[in-house]
Amino acid sequence: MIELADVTFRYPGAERPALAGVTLSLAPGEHVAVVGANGSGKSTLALLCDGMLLPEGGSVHVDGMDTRDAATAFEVRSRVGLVLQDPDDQIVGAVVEEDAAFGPENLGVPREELRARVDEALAAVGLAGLERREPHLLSEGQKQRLAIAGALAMRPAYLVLDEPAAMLDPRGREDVGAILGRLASGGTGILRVTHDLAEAAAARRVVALCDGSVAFDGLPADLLADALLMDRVGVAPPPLAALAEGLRLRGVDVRADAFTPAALLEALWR
Amino acid sequence: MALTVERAGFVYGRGTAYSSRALDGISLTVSPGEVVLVLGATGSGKSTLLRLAAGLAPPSEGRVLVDGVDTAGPDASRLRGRVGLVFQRPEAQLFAETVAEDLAFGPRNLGRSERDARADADEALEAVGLDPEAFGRRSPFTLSGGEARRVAIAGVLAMRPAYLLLDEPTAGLDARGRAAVLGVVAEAKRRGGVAVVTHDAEELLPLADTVLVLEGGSPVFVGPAAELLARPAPLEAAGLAVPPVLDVQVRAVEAGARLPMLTLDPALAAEILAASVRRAR
Ligand SMILES: Nc1ncnc2c1ncn2[C@@H]1O[C@H](COP(=O)(O)OP(=O)(O)OP(=O)(O)O)[C@@H](O)[C@H]1O
Ligand SMILES: Nc1ncnc2c1ncn2[C@@H]1O[C@H](COP(=O)(O)OP(=O)(O)O)[C@@H](O)[C@H]1O
Ligand SMILES: [Mg+2]
Ligand SMILES: [Mg+2]
Repeated sequence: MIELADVTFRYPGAERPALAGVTLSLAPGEHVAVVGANGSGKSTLALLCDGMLLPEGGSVHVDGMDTRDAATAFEVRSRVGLVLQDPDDQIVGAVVEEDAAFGPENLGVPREELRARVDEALAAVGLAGLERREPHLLSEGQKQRLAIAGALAMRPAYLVLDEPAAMLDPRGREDVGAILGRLASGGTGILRVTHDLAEAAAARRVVALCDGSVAFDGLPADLLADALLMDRVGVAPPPLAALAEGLRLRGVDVRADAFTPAALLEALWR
Repeated sequence: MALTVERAGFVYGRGTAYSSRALDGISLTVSPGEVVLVLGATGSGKSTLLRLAAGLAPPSEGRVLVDGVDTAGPDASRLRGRVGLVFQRPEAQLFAETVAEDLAFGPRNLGRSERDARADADEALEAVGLDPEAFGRRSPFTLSGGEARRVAIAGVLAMRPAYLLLDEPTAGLDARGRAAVLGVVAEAKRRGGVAVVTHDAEELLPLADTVLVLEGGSPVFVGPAAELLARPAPLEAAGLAVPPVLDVQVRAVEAGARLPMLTLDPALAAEILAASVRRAR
């Protein structure tokens, strides 16, 4: 379990705290989406989960270990895989396969297994065949896939991803969604930052941040049903939700969780 | 007067073992008062095309003309400031100590007075939905990802280019930021020509006059946006998603519904669909 208890964090020299009084937990196998306006504290939250940033007030525990405890810091980082918002902050290898191997190698994964893990991770994100490519020669979307592969190869108990699909095309986003869904079913705890409510709806639970505090923590459908709250936390309803709402207004019986074209068509012809 | 790409191609690492073709036989015209949307999956060559259009790389074949001047020719220096490109990850280019300094740098460099440069900078920040008071004195290196991207977009706007080229400008922005970018595109269309690159047709297609769909570096559709709206199949062919609101209508038509038009506007789509179902009953 990752547990944030009343966490406060302020960047050096900043006028106001980036996070204030945040309490939140992520259980193994849970899939949580984090949404919120630009500057609301999502990345700060992500960085606190693996001890990259340390709380100023309150505490962060990973499977019972305090992230401030230097003695368990390595163990914490090996349990929490972090995919940063900017792939360039993360990519260190001279070629693609070296970069994907960097994390597990640091964890002491033996050579033979390393190869298998890297191949599997690169295949999962669709980078097979580009093993020897220099990362700076990749397109932005490919860099983002590489950052995800590096975290996958660590096989962490928890995976925290900061807008992992921001630079991906629809197929890439689908791939990432499928990978995360599979991992969550297999017991990995997933915390995923996104601006896309359609993406967030694929998670069981959505947390919305507003000015560094938790403004909502609950079911995607409940957030989607609250237009004022969506506006306040800086997310727009997905166009399909707006279409569903429009149909409801015109007397078509559309269920609250009808988020796909197929579900809407079904409602139209029922 | 226009920005024209004429039968251009581009090969990365030409003559090396890693040589790979990113573009082949692309033609494109961006006229003042026009928004051209370039759609394509990851790796289809969108960013490469914008780099050529901005004169940052000479095409391997064909040519790029800005108001008749070849970007790879001897007069290219005359084009300084005419074409503004917002990169796919523009925040990597921020450099000054404060946001205000960073934004005033471009217009000052183009010879504008200190006062005008500052005014251009403030106006540009407002256009992307950031308060010049609150953000002007911040260091660009302490901004959140989305804030930095908005500042970087403002940096190009502040130079008031005649042709504005935007590479995935809404990625990573919140709802307000995305709405602000749509406003920026509409305003830039009044001031000059605009080309926007995205893999998300949904938001920008309603603003587009002309659309180019790329697949593997080659065009699979070039034409009026209305034509693509009426028959969105090329989007699927290029590995892109048909916007879900449009998808519902396309599938309804396939199932026998008679719709007077296809639209991306959810409210209008609801009206049309509900009416057609009522008629069918
Ligand atoms: N290094 C830093 N120094 C000072 N302030 C910072 C720093 N990094 C972020 N901030 C500020 O802290 C707040 C939260 O930033 P954070 O990066 O967590 O936002 P975010 O929700 O991830 O936003 P985005 O959607 O734009 O990525 C913002 O007000 C931001 O300006
Ligand atoms: N600097 C580079 N060196 C070599 N190949 C590159 C470079 N940048 C992009 N490419 C390749 O060129 C093709 C087109 O890339 P790009 O224009 O970035 O596509 P898009 O913007 O549509 O995602 C891709 O196959 C990509 O891997
Ligand atoms: Mg962030
Ligand atoms: Mg690109």
